[in-house]
Amino acid sequence: MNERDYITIEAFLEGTLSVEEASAVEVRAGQDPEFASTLADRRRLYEHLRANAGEASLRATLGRLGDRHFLPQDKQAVIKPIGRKNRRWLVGLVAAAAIALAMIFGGRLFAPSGNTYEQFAQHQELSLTERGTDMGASAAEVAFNEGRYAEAIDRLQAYLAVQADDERAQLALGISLLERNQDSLAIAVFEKIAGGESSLAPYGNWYLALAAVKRGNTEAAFSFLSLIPESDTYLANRVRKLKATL
Amino acid sequence: MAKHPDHTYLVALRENDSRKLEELYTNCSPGIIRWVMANNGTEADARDLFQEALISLHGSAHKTGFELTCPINALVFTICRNQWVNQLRRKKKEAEVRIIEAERYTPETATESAYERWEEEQLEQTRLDESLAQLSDTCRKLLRLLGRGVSSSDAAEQLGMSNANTVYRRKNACLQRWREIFDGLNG
Repeated sequence: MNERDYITIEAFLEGTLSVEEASAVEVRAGQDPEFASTLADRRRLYEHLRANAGEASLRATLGRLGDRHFLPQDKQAVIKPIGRKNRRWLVGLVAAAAIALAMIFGGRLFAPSGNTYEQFAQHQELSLTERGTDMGASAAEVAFNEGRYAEAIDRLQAYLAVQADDERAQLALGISLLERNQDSLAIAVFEKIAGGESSLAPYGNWYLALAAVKRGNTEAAFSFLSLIPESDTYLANRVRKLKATL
Repeated sequence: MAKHPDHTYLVALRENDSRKLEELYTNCSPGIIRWVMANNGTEADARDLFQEALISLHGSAHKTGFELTCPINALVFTICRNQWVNQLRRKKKEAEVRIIEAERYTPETATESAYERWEEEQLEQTRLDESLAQLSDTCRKLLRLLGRGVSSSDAAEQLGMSNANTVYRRKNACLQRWREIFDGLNG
């Protein structure tokens, strides 16, 4: 390696060589390990320097996106286990976050900022397999928890075909439908849950309220929120925050 | 392995394409938020993890030949999950981590492989940063200016050098010194 080699490498990396000269560099790199090693190291360094140079502006962009897609600090709730075994998967339905429902038509749903729905529509992990029998529960769980709602709908429907009474799965199906912008079907599921007498009934009303918020129907949202009992301290906290925001 | 269609998100990170990145936030952040909050974190923790995962991928996105070979949400989730478990362990909160949940999660082979490459990339980026940190102030400033695409004559002016030829000679000296340091770190 001499000074001319270094000049050639620099020119190659800066893209100022002719096609023929650039081809010659590539040929030499295939034949001369030292030349190839120097070229590779300098290329990597320049790539790293370019990445570093662009990091500040990327951080600024990600900061703005974070403001839109994550709940502001002062609106975050605290995760508090409900402690009732039959609602384990909903424990901590806390903190609303939102974005989740934000991908309807074409992948983007709501207004980019200040969207109340986005702030409160956060779904807790689904856990169906604790009952010991699978019957497709694991795959449904994974799809739901990873936000693959189209797949979750198919898998939850298959699971419910043999476990029709599993209200946790029903609620997850409703959420998935809402996520996929199949609002009418989602609302029908939530209405059935809200109209029942199980411990999940308040969550049916909670999601009916969120669906109303999503459609901009504040009056209906308040109506559903009023049906959620104060005794459910976890949800009651969320209800107060949502009412305050509305 | 074939390039995954989600590679476009890596390009978006490299190009700082906010419209495309908005899609990424819309599609990926809910799952991260859910998992972090279900594992003793806050939404602010999720936000930090998510952003830093993307920043780390931005570094990889500049590397020639680096291709995404799995869905980006799977890779970002794996990065965030492992980073969060590491943070909790550092805070000596192992008991609070849902280790069973964490260990039960087994990414797809393609994701696992992409994650391993990401880890190697992180190590290399750390070595690059360490090697740059050992250069003189002038060398660091010069290389950073050139990395931002500043011309040699402009760099000469900003660094108080006489002309572009001085910049060129200094740059070569800096690069040779850098390589000695970098080789030492890799050695």
